[in-house]
Amino acid sequence: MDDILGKCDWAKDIISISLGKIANKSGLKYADVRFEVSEGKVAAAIAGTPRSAEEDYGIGLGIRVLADVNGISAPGYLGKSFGQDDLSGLREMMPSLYDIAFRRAKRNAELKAKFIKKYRVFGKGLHSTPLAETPIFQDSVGAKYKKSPHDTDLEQFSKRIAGASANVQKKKGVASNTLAAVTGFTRKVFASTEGALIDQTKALTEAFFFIAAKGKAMESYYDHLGEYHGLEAFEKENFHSLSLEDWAAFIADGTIELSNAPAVDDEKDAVVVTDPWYNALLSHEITGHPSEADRALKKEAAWAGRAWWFTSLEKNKIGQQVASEELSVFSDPTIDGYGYYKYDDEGVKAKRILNIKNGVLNEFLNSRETASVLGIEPNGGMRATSAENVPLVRMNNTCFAAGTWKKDEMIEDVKKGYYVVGQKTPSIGETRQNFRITCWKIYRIEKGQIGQLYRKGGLTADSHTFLKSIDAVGDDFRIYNIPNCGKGTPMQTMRVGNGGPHIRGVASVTGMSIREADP
Amino acid sequence: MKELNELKATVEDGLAIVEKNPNVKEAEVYASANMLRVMRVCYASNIPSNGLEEPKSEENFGASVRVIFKNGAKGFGKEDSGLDKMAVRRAFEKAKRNRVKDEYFTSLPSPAGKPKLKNYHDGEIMGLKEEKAVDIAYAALGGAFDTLTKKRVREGLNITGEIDFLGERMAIANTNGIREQDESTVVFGTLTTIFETQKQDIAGMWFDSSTHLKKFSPAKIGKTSVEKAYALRNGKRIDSGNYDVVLSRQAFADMLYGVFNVSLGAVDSQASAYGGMLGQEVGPDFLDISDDGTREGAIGTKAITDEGLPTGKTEIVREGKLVNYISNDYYTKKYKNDERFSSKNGFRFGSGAGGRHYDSEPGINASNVIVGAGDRKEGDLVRDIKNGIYIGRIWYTYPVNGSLSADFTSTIRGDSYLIRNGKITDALIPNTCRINDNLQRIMKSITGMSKKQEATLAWAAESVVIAPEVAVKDLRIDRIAKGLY
Repeated sequence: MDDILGKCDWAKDIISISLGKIANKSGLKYADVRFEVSEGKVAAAIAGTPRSAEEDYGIGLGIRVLADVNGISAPGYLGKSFGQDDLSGLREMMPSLYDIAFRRAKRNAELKAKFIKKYRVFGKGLHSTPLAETPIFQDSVGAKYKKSPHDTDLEQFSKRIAGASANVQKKKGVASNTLAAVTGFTRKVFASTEGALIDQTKALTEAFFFIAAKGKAMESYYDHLGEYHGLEAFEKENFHSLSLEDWAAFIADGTIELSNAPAVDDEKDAVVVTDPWYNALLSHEITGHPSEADRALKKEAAWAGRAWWFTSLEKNKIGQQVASEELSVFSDPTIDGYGYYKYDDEGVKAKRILNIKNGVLNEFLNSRETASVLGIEPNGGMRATSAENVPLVRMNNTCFAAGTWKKDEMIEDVKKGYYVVGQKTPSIGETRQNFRITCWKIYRIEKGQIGQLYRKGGLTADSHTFLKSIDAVGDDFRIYNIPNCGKGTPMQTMRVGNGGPHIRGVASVTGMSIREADP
Repeated sequence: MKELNELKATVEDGLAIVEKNPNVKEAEVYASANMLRVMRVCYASNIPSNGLEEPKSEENFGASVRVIFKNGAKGFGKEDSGLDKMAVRRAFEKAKRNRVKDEYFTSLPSPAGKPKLKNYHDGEIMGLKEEKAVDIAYAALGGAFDTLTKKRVREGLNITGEIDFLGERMAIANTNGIREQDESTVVFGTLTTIFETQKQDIAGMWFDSSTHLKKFSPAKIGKTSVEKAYALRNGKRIDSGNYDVVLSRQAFADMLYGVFNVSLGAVDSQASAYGGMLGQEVGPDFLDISDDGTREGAIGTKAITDEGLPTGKTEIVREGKLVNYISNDYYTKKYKNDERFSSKNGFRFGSGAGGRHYDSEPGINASNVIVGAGDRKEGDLVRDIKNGIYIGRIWYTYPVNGSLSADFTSTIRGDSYLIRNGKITDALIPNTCRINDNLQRIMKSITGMSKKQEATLAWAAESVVIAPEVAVKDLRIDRIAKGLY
C-alpha cells in the first residue's frame, strides 16, 4: 500500500484532461467526476476475542453527465470501484465510462421530452434539469490531525481494541460486548467541465460499541465515538472527552446501572430537559432532515419521506414561525464535526446557514439543482458516501444553536418532569411531523432535583408542538457526531454532526412497560 | 460484467497458488462480480422535477482470500477489481498481514452436498442495455400518468420510487474440496403515488419483483400505485387506543424486517430479543416461519451460500414454537454441540447496495423468509373484526428500546382502512397514527392468517419476506399530527 493516497495526484491530471476532451461533445451540457481513495485499519473484537483485523484501501469513481436533447436536459450517472491495476489504464477507460453515463442521460432527456409532449398536463411538472450558477474553484484541502493514523500498526491497533473489549467483559453484569474501530484517511478529487478541480483529504478515527448487560433485566446499548481526526480522537480529543477505553467503560457502567433500574411508565405532556447528546439525534431528525431541500421538494418521498413544513413552492412555512423564538437551528460545514468539509460534492464552497432563525423557518440545505428550483444561491449541501454513489442533499453540522440558560437553572425551575440523557433509536413520521426517539437514560425531576433513574425511556411528540414548547435553551453547546445517517437508494450511510445545548420543552414520555410480552 | 468462467478460473488458479504456501493449513479463494442499475423516479406536478431523477449504476468485482494458518491464526484479504493471479497473491499477502487469533475459527467449510438450483438467472438482466433500463423506468411512470388521466387527477401529485436491476455472480474454492459458482438476477420496482391537495395528503404504493425481466410489469406498478392512492380519498382519522387489526403482507413483513432478528450471530453476541428462546412458544400453533434460499422464482433465492454450501430451508418457528436460528459456518461450529444449527445462511451481502461482495467475510443473512399460509380466504380476516383497522403500509419500524427488546414503534403511512362490523368502510388518512407495541406480544396475539402469500419489499434489505395477511388482536395505536401543514 505504497502511498495509495498519492495516486490521486496522477488521477487528477487524467480526469482533468478527459473532461476537457468531452466538454465539447455534441449533446453534452455538463459533466463532473469524483475520484476517491481511502485507506485505513479496521479491527473488531467480541467479548475480548479478536474477530477481525484488516489494513486495506479502496478506490472509487463517480460520473455525472447532463445531456441535452432539443433544449431538454437530463442527468445520467455511473459509479465504479477500482483496483490499483486499473489506475494504469484509467486514461483509456475514461471515454467508455463517460459514454455509459451519457447514454443514460441522453435517453433520459429524450424520454423526458417525449413525456412533456405526450402528457401535456403532467408534463408541466417536468423540467429541463438546471444547475444554479456557482463560483468555480481550484483548491486543495489537507487533513486535520495531530497523531497520524499511520502511527499505529495493525497488530497494535487490533490488540488495543481486543484489550478494551476484554476489560469491559470483566465487569460484573456484562453479558457481552462488541467493539470495532477504524483509523485512516480519505482523499477525494472533484473535477468538472466548468473547470473546477478540488482535492480534499480527511482523517477519520472512530469506534462502535455494543454492550448487553444483565441485572434485574437485560439492557443493551449501542454507541459510537469518532472524529475527522487522527488517533488523538481515541485520547480524549472527541465529543465525549474520554479515551477509547474510558468511553467503553463509561457506556458499560451506565448500561449495567440501567439493567437494575425500573422501566419508566408512559406520561403525557411532561416537562422534559434534554441533554446535548440526546439533542444531537433530536436536532438531526426533526430539524436536520426536513431542512434538506430534496426532501422538501419531494424527491425522497418514497423511502426517506417529505418535510411537513413544505407542501409546494407556493404553500410552505418559509418565513413563518415553526418553533419557539428561543430556538435557532444552523448548518455549518466549516466547524469541526462529521459535517465538516470545505467544498461539497458539486464543488460548491461550504458555508454556514441558518435553517431556523429565532423560530422562523429560514433556509434549506440545497444542491445546485434544488437551489435553482427554490430561486436561491447554492449553499453546498451535496454529499455522497463514496465516489461510486450519487451525491444527495445531506445535513452537515446541523444543530440547535446555543442560548443563554445554565443547565442547572433549567432543571431548578422544574417542579415535576424528566431529565433525558443520551440518544438511542429514532422513529420519525414520514414528513418528520411526529417523532418517537428513545434515550439511554431518563431521570425523574422532582422539585428541581434529579432523582430516580429509569430504563426504556424516550420522548414522543408532534414536531411543531414540541419545537414551539421550547422555553429554555442552554449555553452549553456541544456537537455529537452521528456515523450512520441513512438516505437514498441504494442506501447511503453518511457521517454528520449534530447537537446543541440543553433545552427544555414539553413532550410525552414513552416507556413500553405496559406492552411487555407475556412471560 | 465479468463472466462466471473468469471468476471460476480466479478461484481455482488462485487456490493452487495459496495452498502451496507452507504456513497455510486451510485456504479459500472467493471471487464475485456485481452490476446494480438503479433508476430512481421522481415526479411532482407542482414542483419542477426530472421524472427520472437518477439513472445510475454501481459495478464492482474482485477476489478475496481466507486462510487458516498453521499457527492457528486466521486471515482475510481482498483485492478490488482484480481477478488474475497477481490479484489473488496480493489478497493473500493482505490475509497474512491481517491475521488474528480467534479461538472459535477452527476450520473452513467442507462440502455438504450439491445445490438444488441451476441456471435460474436471466441473461437479459445480466446484459441489459443502458437505454432499455431507462425505458422501463419511464414505462412505470407512464403507467401512473395513464391511470391519472383516466381518474382525472391532475394537481398535487408526487410519484417517487425506483426500478432496480441486479446481476450477481460468484465463485468459491477451498482446500476442503469446495468448488462452487452461482449467478442470479433480480428486477425490482416500486412507486409511491401521493396526492397532496387542500383536503388530503394520501399515499398509495405498489411494487413488483422477479428474477426475470419478462415476468416484470413496470406499467402495472405505476397504475396500481395510483389506484391505491385514489382509493384513499376522503379518509378519516382515528383516536388513540387498542385495535383489532389485519396487517397486510407488507406491514407484517416490515415488523419482521425491523425486529425479528433470529441470526445465531446476534444471539451469540446477546443482541437479539429472541436469544435463549428456543423451544418456547412465540405464536399460535398455526404460525410457521422458515428461511428458504431455494424457493424458485423468489428474489432472495440463491443456489449456494457465499461459503460454498448449498442453501436450503431452515424452520425457525414451527407450530408456534421457536425451533431454530439461521447461521453460517463460523457460528454453527462455535455451537457444534447443538445439532439444530446449520450453515445455510453464510452470505457476503453489502450494506444497502445489493450484490455478493468479495470484500467482506461471510456474515449471517436471511434469504427468503417465509411465513406459512393460514386457512382463511381473502376478506375473511376483515369479516371477523367488529371495530378495527386494515393496516397496509407502515414506516420507520425500529426496535426503539434496543435490540434485546422486541418493543418497536412505527407510523402508518398509507394503504390503510377502517373496519366496521366486518367491512372496510373508510380510508385511514396516512401519517396520522403511530403503532407502539411489542413484536413478541403481537405474534402471540395473531388470531388468523390468509391462505395467499406474497413477496414484500424493504428499503436496503437483501432478504425478502413472503407472507400472508395476518389478523392481530389489540394493537396499540396512538394518534399523531397529520403529515403536511
